[in-house]
This record gives sequence, C-alpha cells and structure tokens, in this order.
Amino acid sequence: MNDFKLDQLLRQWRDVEPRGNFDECVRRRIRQAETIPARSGWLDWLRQPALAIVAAVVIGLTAGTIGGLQSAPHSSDELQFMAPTTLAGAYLNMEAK
Amino acid sequence: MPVVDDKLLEQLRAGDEVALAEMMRQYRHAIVNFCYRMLGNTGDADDVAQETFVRFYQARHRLRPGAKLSTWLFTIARNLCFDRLRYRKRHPTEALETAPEPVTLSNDVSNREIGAAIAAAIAQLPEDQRTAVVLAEYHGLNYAEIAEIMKCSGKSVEARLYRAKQVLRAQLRSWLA
Repeated sequence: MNDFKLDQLLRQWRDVEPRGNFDECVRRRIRQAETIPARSGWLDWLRQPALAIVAAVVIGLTAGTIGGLQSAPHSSDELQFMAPTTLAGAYLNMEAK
Repeated sequence: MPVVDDKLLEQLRAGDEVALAEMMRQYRHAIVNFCYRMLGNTGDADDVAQETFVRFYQARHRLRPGAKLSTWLFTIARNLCFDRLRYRKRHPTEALETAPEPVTLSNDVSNREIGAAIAAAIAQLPEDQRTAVVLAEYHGLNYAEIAEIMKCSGKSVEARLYRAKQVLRAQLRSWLA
C-alpha cells in the first residue's frame, strides 16, 4: 500500500465549519480579558489546591512550633509543683543542686 | 495558507479591529479544523480555536515584521489542544460528554462512516504524531513549517509522520483494501 492511497483516504474526513458567531465570541472574550484586572501574581500559586494544602500545613506547623516555644516553661522554677518522688521531680532536684 | 502582509501585522499590533476581523476571516476555518482533528469534537474545537485568537491578540505586541501568522496561530492552537487533551485525561467523566464525534459536512452515510473511522484512527495516535499528520495532510504544511510549530527538527517530523502513517495504514486497512 502506498502513501497516495492513504492520503486519498485521509482527505475523505471532511472539514467542519466554524460557528456563525465565531468572530463575535472571540471579540467578547478579548473584551472580557481586557476588563478583568490582572491577578496579583504572587498569590496565584495558592489557587492550586495541592499547594494550598501544603502551605496551610507549613503555616500550621510553624505557628504551632512558635506557640509551643513561647508557652513552654523557661525555668525549672515553673516545674516545682512536680512531686520530688517522680522521675521528673528527681531530675529537677538534681539540676537545682 | 494565505499570505499576510506586514501592513496587516502593523495594524494588528496597533489593535485595529478591522485587521483582527481580516485575520479571523483568513485563518478561522483552518484553526477550527486543526482543533477539530486534534480533539475530535466540534464544541471543543470551536472553544479552543476562539481561545487561540484571543491569546494571539493578547500577544500581538510581540509580533515582528516578517513573522508568519499561520505559524503563530498553529503553535498557540497546538498548545491549547494539548492542554485540553490533558484536562480530559484528568477529568474522564467530563471527557465522556465531549467524546470525539464523527461529524462531517456530508450527509452521505458512507462518507460519515469513513470520517468516523479516520477520526478514531487519528485519535489513537500520540499527540505529536497526530499534530504532524493533521498539519501535513489537512493543511498542506511542509516538514520545515511543521518543525517550526512543533519546535523540533525536520527529520523528527519526518520520523513522526512515518510512524503515524504506519499505524494509520494498519488501523484503516479495511478501508484501503
């Protein structure tokens, strides 16, 4: 079989006609695109769900860590309520000495 | 492909509506049919072809004298068709609604059957082979022009066309007998 026969066959797939209002639709889309203000840019990537989830997790972890560090006891005095007989209490006593 | 002179290009860059109308008059049929053969669906083809002209118009300031409009338009259309095909793969339920339809201008049953068989065979081809076949067979572009649109070498176009035609011959053997 040669290319000629195949080419002849392929050309039997007929063309379609564009819709009657094709030009009008293009103009309308152009006008719409011109009226929509350009996006801010740097926040555009957040529109992707996967990236938004990752960003939320990272922000949550960072906030949790900072909050935890700030609320964590800074001195052993704050842990004096622990009974001296417990392991933690014995450790604090040892540290204090 | 119609030849577009630098004057029309200049008018387009200036945002002239008449020039836009003239460009659409010259290219809309070709771009709609390119999209139709890439996507196999008239609704999607019209939508993507319209978007092609919108993107082209938005990028008109980047056009330089001597630029070939058909190359620009086919390149944009090809990229948008690939985007649409990828979207269909990611959204298979929506893709069912826009499944390829064997629509032809002819009412003749035999011609419709042939059209459907060719559409199905071309739809089986990988995207790059499909692009090469459609541009060569239905738009009469040569290897160099296709290579420019596909951003590859002429040899690569030749190889893609060769492989595509092998597949098409096998798929359409009953029609070729």
